[in-house]
Amino acid sequence: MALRITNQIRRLRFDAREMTQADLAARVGVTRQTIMAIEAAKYSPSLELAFLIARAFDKPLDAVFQFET
Amino acid sequence: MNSEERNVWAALLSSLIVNPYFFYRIWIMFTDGTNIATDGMQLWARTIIWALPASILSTILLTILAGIVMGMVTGEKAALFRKDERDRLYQLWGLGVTMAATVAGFVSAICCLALGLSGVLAFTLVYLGCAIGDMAGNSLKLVLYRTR
Repeated sequence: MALRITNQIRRLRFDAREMTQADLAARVGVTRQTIMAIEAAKYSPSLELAFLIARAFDKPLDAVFQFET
Repeated sequence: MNSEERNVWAALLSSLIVNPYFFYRIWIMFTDGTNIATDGMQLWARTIIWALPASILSTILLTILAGIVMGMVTGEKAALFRKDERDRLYQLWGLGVTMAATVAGFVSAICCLALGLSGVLAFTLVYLGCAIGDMAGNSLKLVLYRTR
């Protein structure tokens, strides 16, 4: 069974007045490349980072990240 | 490319410059019979002791140079030592590969001594394990940065 974590970061950035990856990275304390990797679902963030990203958009965690089987 | 990936490129390039030179020097020692001389071990050590500072110096210089070039090309002000959880994870995986190769070199050296071969050869295998481990670890990190 293939498990996959998807996310809505791109859409949420768009809704937040086209927040840039660099802006989001600065808010949560990671590099822009890490945000890029998370957005492309190539890297799954730690729980701590996932909560920080959700907080940056003022959304609950499951509105940002979804777990698909 | 983030600052950590750039630093890994610099470290890999440094290894590719420094290690072949020292392996060439060791090769000469094996071909001219220094390895079986009574003071062979001492001569080997006097050569290899310079590998550490040479490697550190070249890595520092290449890291600074890469930082300047990247800054000029991308215009991005990436901090030299900025690191996040993804960097730390890849660093850990790279370290695993480095450790495995280093241990393999050490075990090979023990086998070499058990077979009655020269101590210089055994120490060379330890150095080879470290060098290959370092390059393999850095290569894995670059693969992870590029594919994940």
